[in-house]
Amino acid sequence: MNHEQAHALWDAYLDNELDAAATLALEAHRRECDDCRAGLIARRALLAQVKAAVRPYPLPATLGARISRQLRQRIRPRLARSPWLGSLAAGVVLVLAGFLFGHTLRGPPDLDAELVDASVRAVLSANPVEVVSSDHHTVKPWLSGRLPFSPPVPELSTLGDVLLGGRVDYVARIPVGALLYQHGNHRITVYLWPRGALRNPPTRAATLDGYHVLPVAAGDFTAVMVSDLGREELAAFRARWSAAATSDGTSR
Amino acid sequence: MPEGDAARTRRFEAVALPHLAAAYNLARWICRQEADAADVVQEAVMRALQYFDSYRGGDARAWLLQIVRNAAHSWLERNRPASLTLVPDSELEQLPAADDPVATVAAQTAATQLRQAIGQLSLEQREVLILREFEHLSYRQIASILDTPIGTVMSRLSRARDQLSRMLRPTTEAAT
Repeated sequence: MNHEQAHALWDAYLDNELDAAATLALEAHRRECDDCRAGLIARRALLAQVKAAVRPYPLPATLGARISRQLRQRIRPRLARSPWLGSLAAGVVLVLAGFLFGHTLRGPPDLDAELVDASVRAVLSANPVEVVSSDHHTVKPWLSGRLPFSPPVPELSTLGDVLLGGRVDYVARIPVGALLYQHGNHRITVYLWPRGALRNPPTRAATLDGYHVLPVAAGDFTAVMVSDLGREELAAFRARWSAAATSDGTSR
Repeated sequence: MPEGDAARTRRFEAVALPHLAAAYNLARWICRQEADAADVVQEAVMRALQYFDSYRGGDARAWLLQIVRNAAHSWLERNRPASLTLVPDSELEQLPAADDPVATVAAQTAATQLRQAIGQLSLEQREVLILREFEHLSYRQIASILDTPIGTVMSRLSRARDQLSRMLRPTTEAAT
């Protein structure tokens, strides 16, 4: 094997993609070739440098939303024809009821969809939270500094629910606080805005495409939990969250 | 009874959407522009949904990346034909923007330098490098995505890294 042939195999060798015979031949050549020894060391360093320094471009939040919306548009009109989709049927009924009776029955159905969209968009994005912290002493001032109000930020880590952080979202044309919690393998987004800031806030539980939307009053604030967690489990989370929000007195 | 459209779309979402970030990163490196890459990914996902019946299990990420890669190439052919012609390696091209505000300044400098160097590689070398360094795919998987023999993957990757080390040489030597 000459040096040119050996050089052409450096990368396959370092990537563990070389067969045994070629590996032996390259190693035999390396023992006699100063250039290959130095070259392989430099190449290994280059690969480590690439690995350490290069980060992928983050997925734009709007793209995840655009795609999930386009896919959902394909599903929605056809859902009713798949009766065996079981639990989703209830969601369809709620959505239809929302469309038929609009604002009189419950919050505008668009708002539920908007909250679900916003939470899916965030979870799909590379940075689901803007302030990454499980400490409410970090998250609360961060949100207060960016919102015209100071929402409650209960920490629930002792109860198996981990606070992942927070971000500011924009829902129904007002800025809202969003807290992200992890429970088992599921993520729960809690949206918060001052009570009365929205004319028709969601007041009832809703299910959209497998996501549950659960509103709750929290002192001077309206909170809405959105998650793909089971409905009962999300209701249990809501109870724990409300208790913590009240007891730590952070709700203003 | 044939599977309903809704169930099929749901199954598709479960298979494809976890790889959306990888799909976007590949498209972003191929197209070099955020808006172009977003269009390519959206088009590719809809194309993937159409082809979903031909997906027979196996590596969903490689399957989606192949569709994204082909979509990116045909998109560039339609919209940016100049970017497909091979340019000499030494010729500077438009650099990808450094858009990583959270990194520390020092890490950002090194990362930016590397990003710029990778961004200057030819399309052929760039895509093989991205599939290897970002997605850690095997040569066989990369060969199937690019629809080339494994030997071609090996030699393109080797030339890409040769080129990268030439471009980074001043800093590499200063560090040793």
